[in-house]
Amino acid sequence: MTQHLLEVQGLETEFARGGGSVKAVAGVDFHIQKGEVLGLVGESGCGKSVTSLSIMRLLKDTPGKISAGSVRFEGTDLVKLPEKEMRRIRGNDLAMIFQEPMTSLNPVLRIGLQLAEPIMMHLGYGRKKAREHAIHMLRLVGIPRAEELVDDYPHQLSGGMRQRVMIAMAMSCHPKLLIADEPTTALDVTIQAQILDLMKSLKEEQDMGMLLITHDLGVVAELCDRVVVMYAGRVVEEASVHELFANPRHPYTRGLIHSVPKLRQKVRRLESIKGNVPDLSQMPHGCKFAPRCEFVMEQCLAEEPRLLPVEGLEERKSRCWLTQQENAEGGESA
Amino acid sequence: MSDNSTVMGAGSPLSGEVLPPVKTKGRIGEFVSKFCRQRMSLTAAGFIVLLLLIAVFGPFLTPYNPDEANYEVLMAGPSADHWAGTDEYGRDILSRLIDGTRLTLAVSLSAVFIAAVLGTILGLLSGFYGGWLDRLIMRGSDVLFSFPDLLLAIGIVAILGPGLSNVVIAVAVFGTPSFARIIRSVTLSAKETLFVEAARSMGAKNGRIIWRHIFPETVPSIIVNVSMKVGGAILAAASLSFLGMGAKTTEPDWGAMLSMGRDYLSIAPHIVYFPGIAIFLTVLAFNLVGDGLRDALDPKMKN
Repeated sequence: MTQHLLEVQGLETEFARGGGSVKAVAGVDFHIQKGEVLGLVGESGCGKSVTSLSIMRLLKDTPGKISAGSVRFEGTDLVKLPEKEMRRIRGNDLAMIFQEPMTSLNPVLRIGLQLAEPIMMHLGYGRKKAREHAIHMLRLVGIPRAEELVDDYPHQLSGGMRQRVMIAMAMSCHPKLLIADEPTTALDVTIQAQILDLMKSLKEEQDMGMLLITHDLGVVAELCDRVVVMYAGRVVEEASVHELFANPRHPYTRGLIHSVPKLRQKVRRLESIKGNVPDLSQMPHGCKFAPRCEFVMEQCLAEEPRLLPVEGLEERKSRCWLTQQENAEGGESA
Repeated sequence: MSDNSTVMGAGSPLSGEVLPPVKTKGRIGEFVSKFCRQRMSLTAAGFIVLLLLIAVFGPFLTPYNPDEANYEVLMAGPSADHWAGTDEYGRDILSRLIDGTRLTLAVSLSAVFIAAVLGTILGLLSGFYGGWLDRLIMRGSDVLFSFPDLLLAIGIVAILGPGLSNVVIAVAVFGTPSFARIIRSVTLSAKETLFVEAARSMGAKNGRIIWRHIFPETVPSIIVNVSMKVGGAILAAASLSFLGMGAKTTEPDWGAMLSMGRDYLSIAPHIVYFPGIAIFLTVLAFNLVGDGLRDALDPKMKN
């Protein structure tokens, strides 16, 4: 098997809280191949963003700490990398787009300068060449009048334009992997579609891998090749995007898909999954989803299921006793 | 239906996003217009500009030689010849006040400048790196804070010996912790901002982040605190000179003039009145300007 671009194995991230610590990410495994878009889906508070920050090793200013596991990027384990080398990878091979375009640019610095800094640092360009490259990147992300706009301040741009600038910045050093943490959540719907199209075409042009973190299943369907569903710091289901929507195996995934309102159906109430993500310090003993699951069985409360392949398919996994039962039955009859 | 779709397709997908070029006043323009709305502070600022001009052009403005004794008019009250009267050596008090402006401003401004530079560096380091460095700097500040200001200054001058340059050091030392504390708190909130995280995610080095992203956030606080501290520094320097620990009595320092005049308070009160008024007005002006700057630079006080 070829080497994956990014391979996360058994990643655990702990946050110190009131003397003890809680695991925001409790053993996450997934991988991304070159040129592939992996969606990371889940409710708020399920550990999506912490996972992305752990990969980038940006937890330094939080009480969080990676306590176990490995993050292999082209074979090197980022968890063990010294900070200095990590800095060379950040923004260069590994870039990130944040959720809030309104606040991810420094309001007192001109856009050109903010774009040029990482270019000068990673690509070793001079001031003038970096500026030209910045203008080129702005054109690439579809910003009109790019050569005028480099001298503007962020407040002179709209949210969609700022997100384009952030994408231009993240793409400026031709990263091999782009982590996009809810890149369209803060934008209005028409702009969302434009940004998604832009990311799609840029991804294809540059043949980079992408980790798309979102809670918007529409975005997933639009952009992703494969999907990893997270719940309470764990991966509960992994599938190709087609499989996931056609045949969700985990009750949580099913709930997520059902809670998306449908266009052609008249409904009085929106469907939802009852309850909330459990408090990290008061996790149920067995399956973490059991308290909210409609199919809960005794076994679910007693023991946590493992993330196991479904129907013998590669890259099709589910963490549920139900699918594992079906699997076993299917295996017997076959 | 078909009409509809043509209309939808007609506009370029970007057209909704492009903002018309808006003429904005910019941060500095906005600040100036806000500051100018505050009459008191504006007047005070005018007074300070006048003082600075006097400090620069002092030697050309004095009606008499400020060091020349004239034993015919010892301790004369204000008159047409000597507007502010003369002192115990018959020196013209107005000339000495004018000449002393430079000394007073130089001492207080340089002391505050040193305190601002040191305090800002310490505050940035303390807030950004946290940990043991933060604890060390903040506990050090606490130690300095626990002394009454003037007592600390007296202590420092007692160690270093009297003289104006030591007064500058003493005033700078007790001004530093307040800068460090203020800048630390601004740093703490600035380093949590998303643009700092974004810069970090692009691989920016710590030094770069501090200088490019965090320092600019602290500038308004530095400006306000400088203007607030200058008044205190003038008072402290004058007090030290009054106590005989600063300027030599021959130097036309306002504090030293007060000190000299004290002996003749009952027979020639004007010798202390005029330096006293000068100190009072200058300190008041700096404090008023500080208030105005704070209001104009505080983004929360939009009106």
